[in-house]
Amino acid sequence: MSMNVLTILQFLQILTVYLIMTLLLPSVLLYSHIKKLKFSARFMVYQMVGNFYMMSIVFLLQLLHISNRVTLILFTAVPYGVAYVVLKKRHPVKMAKKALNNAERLAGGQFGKRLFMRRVRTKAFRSLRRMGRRWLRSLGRNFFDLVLVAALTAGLCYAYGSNLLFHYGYCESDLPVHNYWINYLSQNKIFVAGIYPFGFHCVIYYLHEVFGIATFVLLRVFCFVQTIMIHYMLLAFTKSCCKSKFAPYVGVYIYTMLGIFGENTYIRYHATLPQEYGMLFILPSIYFLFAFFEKRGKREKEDFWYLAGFAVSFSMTLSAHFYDTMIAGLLCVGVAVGYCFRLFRRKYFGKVMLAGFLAIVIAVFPMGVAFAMGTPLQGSLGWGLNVIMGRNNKTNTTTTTTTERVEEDSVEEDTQAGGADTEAGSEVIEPAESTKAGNRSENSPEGEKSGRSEPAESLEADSQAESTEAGDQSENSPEGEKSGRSEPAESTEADSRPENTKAGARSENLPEEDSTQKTARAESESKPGGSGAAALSAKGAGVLVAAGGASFPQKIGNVLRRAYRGFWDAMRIYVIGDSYPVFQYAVPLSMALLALLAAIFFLLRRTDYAARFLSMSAGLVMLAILQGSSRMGLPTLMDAIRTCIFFSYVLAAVWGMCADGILELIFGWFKKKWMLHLASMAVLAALIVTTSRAGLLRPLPDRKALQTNDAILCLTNILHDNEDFTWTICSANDELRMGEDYGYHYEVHTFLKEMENKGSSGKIIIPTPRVYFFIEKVPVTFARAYEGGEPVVSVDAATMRLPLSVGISMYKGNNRWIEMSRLYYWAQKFMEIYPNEMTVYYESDNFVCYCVEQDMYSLFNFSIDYGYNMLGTQ
Amino acid sequence: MVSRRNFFTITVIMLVIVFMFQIPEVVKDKVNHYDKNEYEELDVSGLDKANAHNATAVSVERTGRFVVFIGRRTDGAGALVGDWCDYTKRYVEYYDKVSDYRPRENLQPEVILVDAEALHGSEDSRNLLQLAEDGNDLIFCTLPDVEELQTDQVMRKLLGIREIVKKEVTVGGIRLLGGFLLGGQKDYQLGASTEETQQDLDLTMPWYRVSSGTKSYMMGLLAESPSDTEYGTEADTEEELKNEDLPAIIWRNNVNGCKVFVVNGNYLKDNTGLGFLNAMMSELKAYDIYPVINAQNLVVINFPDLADENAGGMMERYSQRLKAVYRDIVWPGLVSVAQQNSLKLSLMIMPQMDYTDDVEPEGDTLIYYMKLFQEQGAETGLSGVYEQDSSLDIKLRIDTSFFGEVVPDYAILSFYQGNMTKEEVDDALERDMLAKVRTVFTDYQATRPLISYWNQSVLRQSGITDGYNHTFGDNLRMTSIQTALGYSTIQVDVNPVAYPSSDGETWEKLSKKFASNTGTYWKNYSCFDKTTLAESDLKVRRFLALDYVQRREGNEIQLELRNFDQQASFILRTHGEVLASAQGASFVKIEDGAYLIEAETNRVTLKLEEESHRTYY
Repeated sequence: MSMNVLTILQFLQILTVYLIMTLLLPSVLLYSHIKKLKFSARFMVYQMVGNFYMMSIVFLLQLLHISNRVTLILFTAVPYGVAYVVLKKRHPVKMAKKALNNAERLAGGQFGKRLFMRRVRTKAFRSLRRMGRRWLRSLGRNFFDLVLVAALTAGLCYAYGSNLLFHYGYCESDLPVHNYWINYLSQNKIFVAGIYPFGFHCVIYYLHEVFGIATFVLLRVFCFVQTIMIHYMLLAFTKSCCKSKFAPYVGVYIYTMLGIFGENTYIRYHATLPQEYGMLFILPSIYFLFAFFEKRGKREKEDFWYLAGFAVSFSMTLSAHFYDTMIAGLLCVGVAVGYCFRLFRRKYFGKVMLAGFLAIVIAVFPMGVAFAMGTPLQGSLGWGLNVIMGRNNKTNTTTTTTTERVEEDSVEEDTQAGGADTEAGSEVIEPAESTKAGNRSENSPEGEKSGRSEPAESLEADSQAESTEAGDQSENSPEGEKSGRSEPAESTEADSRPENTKAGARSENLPEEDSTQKTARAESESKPGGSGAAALSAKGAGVLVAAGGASFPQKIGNVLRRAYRGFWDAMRIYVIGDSYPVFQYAVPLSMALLALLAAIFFLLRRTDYAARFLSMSAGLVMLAILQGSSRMGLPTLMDAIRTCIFFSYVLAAVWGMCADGILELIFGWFKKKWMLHLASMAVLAALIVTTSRAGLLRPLPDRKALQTNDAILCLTNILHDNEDFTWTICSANDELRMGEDYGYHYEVHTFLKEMENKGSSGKIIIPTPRVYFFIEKVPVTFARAYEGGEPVVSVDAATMRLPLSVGISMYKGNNRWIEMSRLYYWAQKFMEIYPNEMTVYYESDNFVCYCVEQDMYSLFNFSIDYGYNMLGTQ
Repeated sequence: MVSRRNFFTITVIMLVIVFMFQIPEVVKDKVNHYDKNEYEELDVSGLDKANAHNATAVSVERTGRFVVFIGRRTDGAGALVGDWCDYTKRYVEYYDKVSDYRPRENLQPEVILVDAEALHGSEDSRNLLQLAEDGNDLIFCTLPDVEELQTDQVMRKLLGIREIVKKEVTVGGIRLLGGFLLGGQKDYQLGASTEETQQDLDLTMPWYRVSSGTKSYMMGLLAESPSDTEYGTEADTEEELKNEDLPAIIWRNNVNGCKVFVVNGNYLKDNTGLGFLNAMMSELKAYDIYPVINAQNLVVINFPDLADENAGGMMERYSQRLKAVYRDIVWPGLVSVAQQNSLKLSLMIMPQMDYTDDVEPEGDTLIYYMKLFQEQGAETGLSGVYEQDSSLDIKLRIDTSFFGEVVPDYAILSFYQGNMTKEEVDDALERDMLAKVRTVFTDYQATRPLISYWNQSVLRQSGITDGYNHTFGDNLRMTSIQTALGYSTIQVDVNPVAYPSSDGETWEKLSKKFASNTGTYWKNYSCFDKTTLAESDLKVRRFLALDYVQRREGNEIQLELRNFDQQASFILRTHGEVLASAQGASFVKIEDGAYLIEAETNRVTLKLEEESHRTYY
């Protein structure tokens, strides 16, 4: 079976089980109670319930240390059964009695088998027919919707799914650490590296444990499932807010299919990350608030459920990732603006505040329990608290002058990748210092952080110092200049700062980078003092101070101009590049238009509709401020590079609402709504045709993974071919966590280091019957580009000194080249010594996997003199 | 009252039943040609000593099979290498000293075998190291003294000895790792299920710790905790001794890509070493194919005793006479073991033990047994055992007379040497009764060839293991010979039943051991053909006559056979490859990486495939 087919099957499997948990089971339970809601709203409810239940059950069982497959299934099935009986008003005793009675009659011959079977058949047939009719009716009514949703799904397959087939590996360096955390959930060790929002990890763990899907497969493939759901959620939310049937597709279409948005706005969808998972619950929380305000307290019960929906959704954003909560919070501020005329009434305000408080309590509760039980906070939480307390800004400013050396240091202090190289422990600096260093590097100005975010692997180390660098800290780093590979700032910096070789090198990896973005950034950053976000921050602050001499209106005007300029610059760099001026202008225009439409609809006494518009408009303005905060001289709560993801996501909803508002204004007067729907369909069709003709469609994705496809292929085969824990993979880190539940891992660097200057007098024993060596003949570009272009393993590199660095940096840039070259020549020599025992398991142009079979009673000493390791002794 | 009609019916039915039971017996009796030896039809014409293949320097050009032995030709290792080369169709050159051997450009040996007794000083060590560095693989059949090794660093480097832990250590057992000899991993260590008498291996040896780049095949197992002062070095007391640090017995070192096999012990001094040499050659190459006999014999000697001898002793022990004991107790036991293990019986009849008394063999008894043997497909031969008070001449005359009278047409094809000398056997083979003998079966002798020609036309096959006593040494020998020749002969002497030398030699005890040994130790070799001595005689003759050339092109091995006579067997050893198909031959998997190939034509093509087919690609 080809790996592509396997990946597709894995995706279908994961999608199916996820939909079972978050759609099928909740719908069976709740449909009859919420059938009056639109499908889009029901969809949000089902998603919320399913995900919340999975998270909660895992949290509960993990904190009780009794989480395993049996308990998870038990705690799913039994409460579900009880809920079914209660909600469906069934009488289990009566049903059991009836079944028993039937069985007795059947066994006693009173009830003929044929008669019994006929009744069963008839009942089943009637149920199927009823269901079929209902589906057909629904299909008929929503035919175009179904077609468009199918088209959207196909578009998502094109825009995101195809990357799964091009690149099998993890596309973000954070994933190994998430993999590590999830692996430890299997051992009932939640918060293994400290307290952290674990909602996402709980869901992945649940799917892994209950359905037996390998965690690394989930982390490879689930990204596409969650991306589909994120888009469905966007559509569902917009549809819930809109009057016309097809205007919501306008925003979703632009967001999904057009290539106008900067790569940073969607690149992370190619990886299974908590932040993106948490995005699922941002819009539902807003929807439930809308619904609550719009019901105006007609029915207390409905009030309760909408607020509960809001609380649960909001809590899940917090359970998944703090950034999602921040965005949800800002949008809630927008809702407060939009519904200000109701919010401050007594019967709303208290309830909303209580719901918000409860949402936070629900999310924080498991973390609080763990904290009370003595689990320390995970490093990035400390950073988050610093931001909230305002201490981060200080650091941010002080690090404006941070040199590359600082960054290098912080990287060096980063813990060993995968924790395989224990020597790192000896070089770990004091926790406080390390944290600082970590923060410095994270907070360094644009471009300081090269390549992908620092490996989350560092979290795997025991010390606080190590953990601070990792995982979500890399995600949470302020001032978006902590880039992914596609982070645009660096390339400009490379030009302006020749000494920054890393950034320069990285720019080579960005051939597709939008030239307008580069130019825009070059312009913005080439200004004196404008090369870094922190510098901008200081500059902005200076501008505000300098304006002290002007009159008040002038001051206000200056501030607004600066703020707008800051937002505009950020938007051009991160959201929509200069190649699409129309769409650039559409961003502020849509905010204004939505506010204008809100005003009109307020005047037209379409209050709820207008309030929604105003809420979204205000929410988008809040996001715009966040997006440009560093350029406006405001505290930077979130990297611009991260904000742009949410900004564009909400922007898509806003554009859909704008289209709907205009159409509603024109056609909403008619009693019959078909004209409105037809018009929305026409608008959508026109948009599709126009953008297609204009060549605005997004190209196929090519989000490269941090591993070769060959490595994943080999790992998959190794897992399939061998019994658990009968094999060891010696590779550069990545497979450590992927195969942790099934086998062993040996770090390449440790392996080479242990025979350095020892040769055959050293001793390396790997006690498994099979040992696999993953060698990249063309080393992967991991975070740092190579000097002088893409290398292949060579004698030149093998002759170089083995990198002394620790942590993941030994697999970056030339270090990786040296490591791989050394390992390659070691393998050649070992194969010469053991020609029959070492075989080529798999080989391609770029990669080779060797397999050594050994007798467990006579293990090989892998430490040999392969020439290059003994150069130092000569 | 029974009516006439009913009476008639009952009678008819009874008659029918009587006939139904009688007819098969009658038919069986009629078609049982016990008086003819069915194995006489096996055609061995043209398969005699004159046709046996002898590899020469000329044949090396064609076959490439050539080895050099440095040491004395007549010594244990030298003789073993000579036999091994005969069996593997190799040409061997002997040199007394290392310095005598001068490598020839056009004739590089497959391997140079070295007997440590031929080594004298460090000069030889350097020469051998030079040979290895020049691309010659080496096999050290024996090792120099540990004192010499202590001072000879070059030799230690050549042998891959990192450290001499102790000059002498007595291990608790020996572990033979899987994948070397056929039959998988074996631990020769006394345990709950073994008897002390089974341990007959040499457990005292120097303790060498091998260096990196080596691979161990056999090692000593320490009897007690390594922290015990008897074994423990200072370092060992601190942590548990690892497997790789155990006293190495057979290992392989690597010198510049060349392999150096080292044997720390006397395993390559007699026939036990045959399989080790084959296994080493298989380890040297990516694959190895060599001819084997493919025969498994069960030879019961001195059964039956046709005279009712030792009546007093038998009554005392079994409360039955010898005739009854053999017929009712011994024979069913033998048959059941043979059937359970799918073995064929070869029975060496002892007409009588004592030719000086008045108790004579009974012709009816012989016919009775001959019929039983015929039904079982067993072969009947003659045992040369007799009471020494009599003379060979008398024995042969009486036996000739007896057989001529009872089964005059029966051709005796196998003859058991027993306690007869070679000359006596030669004399016996000239008698009419033994004129058709093809195989002289002898007891196992460590330093004599297992199979060879007794004379121009008669073959010699020897027993390999005793059916009653299977020591660790016996097992190692059997395993080794199975690896080398696919051949084994279990020898079961029934004479102790009639003439016990100790209390333990009663049939119930002997048969228990016989059954358990046979059922246990031969399981791994069930793929080999089960034969009588006459059948294996034919196989051995074909084997000795055979010559072959093999070459590999891509995944195909072409096998060209010379002196091929209807059938030939080979063992193919591979590393990481599987035998996918064969043309001109059938094959069966013995174990991972080992196949038994039955050539049916003189040209065979074997197709190999990679062992691991990845599921996902």
